[in-house]
Amino acid sequence: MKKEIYGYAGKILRVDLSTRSVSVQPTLRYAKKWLGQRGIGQRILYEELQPWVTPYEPANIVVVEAGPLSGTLAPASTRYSLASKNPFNGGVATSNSCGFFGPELKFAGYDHIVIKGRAHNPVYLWITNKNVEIRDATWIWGKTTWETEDLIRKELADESIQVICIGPAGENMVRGACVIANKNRAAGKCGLGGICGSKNLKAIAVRGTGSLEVAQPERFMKAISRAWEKINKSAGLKNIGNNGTIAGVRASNDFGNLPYKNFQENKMPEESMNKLDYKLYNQNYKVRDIAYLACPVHCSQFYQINEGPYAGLATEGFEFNTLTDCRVPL
Amino acid sequence: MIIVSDTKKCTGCRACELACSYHHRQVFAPAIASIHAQRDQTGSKVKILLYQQTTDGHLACNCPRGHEMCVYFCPEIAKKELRAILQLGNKQ
Repeated sequence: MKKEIYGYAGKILRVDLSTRSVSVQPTLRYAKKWLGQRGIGQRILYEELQPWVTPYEPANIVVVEAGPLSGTLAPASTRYSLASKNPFNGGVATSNSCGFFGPELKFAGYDHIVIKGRAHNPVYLWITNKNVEIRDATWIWGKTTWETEDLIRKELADESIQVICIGPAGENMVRGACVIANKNRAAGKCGLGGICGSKNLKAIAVRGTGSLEVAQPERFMKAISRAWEKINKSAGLKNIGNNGTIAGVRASNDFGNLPYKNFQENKMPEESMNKLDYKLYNQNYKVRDIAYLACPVHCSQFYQINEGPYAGLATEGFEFNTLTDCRVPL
Repeated sequence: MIIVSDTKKCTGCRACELACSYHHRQVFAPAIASIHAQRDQTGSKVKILLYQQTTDGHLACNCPRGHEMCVYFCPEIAKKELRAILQLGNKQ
């Protein structure tokens, strides 16, 4: 039977935390006119948010978005994003991140989650193909994002579920708080973590076992194969893949593009630069390359510290921006 | 079922799962794929499961060797490792 909509999973999930009610609407209502995760998300905000609504009040809406290509073999299509009112300027906020959450949401049958209201006590959402549940999260309130993900996986007894969650910063509505996926991937822009915290929403866990179809599979695969071949041939992406996005720090410094000393200078001295060289990280800490769903670039590097006061700490590596924006004065 | 728990090069991108499900049914559905790449809790280890018989919804691997879609979509650095795992499947 011919479907009405391809690429998209087909449904938008609406959750009102104040009344603990859940409903579903078809993505088709938006998909013909508005494209992709951000297009539809922004349209929902535009239609449903009044200009006078402030970011941390229950009337604000958070839209969790997955795109039409997410979950297919389209390279690097795995990113999901969140949209809401911006706590910094009262305008619009969008923040995106890597991770398996977006595709998993689509395999569970949903393209977007529209969350409004405020729960009376801390809760988390548990979404599967058959069911959507608003579960108590009092017992994990106060836990870090790493602990939260582990505890939710343990409670639901499934290693394959995907979780996005907030930590104590989000719970306390710190203005720049992030939403974390897969422990290491942060939707860090615009303080969406604080907005989730204001709704008493600790986490969203999802497990999808459905499938996604594209309208013309053979043409789609031909185009996708061409994209994969181009990526595989790219020397620049190979460099990023083998060394992480920090491979670009030196080049950025060379053409005077690094904000140094709070923008008083645009170039870092060579001595400091040497301490940020990706080769040091590769030699001393790198464990392996990591990638998220259908991403041939694998820019994420897994690092482990084996000696010193932080011995044993293991995580996915920091990115170009971590080094250039948040570095300590060396 | 073959389980390789100590992969060194696999990036855990699971493109093989999507390619596999496309090969079987022309859809993208990791739940039916004959191969599954599972990360551990830290994210530093990737385990590969290769289904030779249909199990829990995962269809049995039936690609003629040398024409596997999963290998085509595997990142360059991990192709060799994936081929070795598929060979392991052949031997059993």
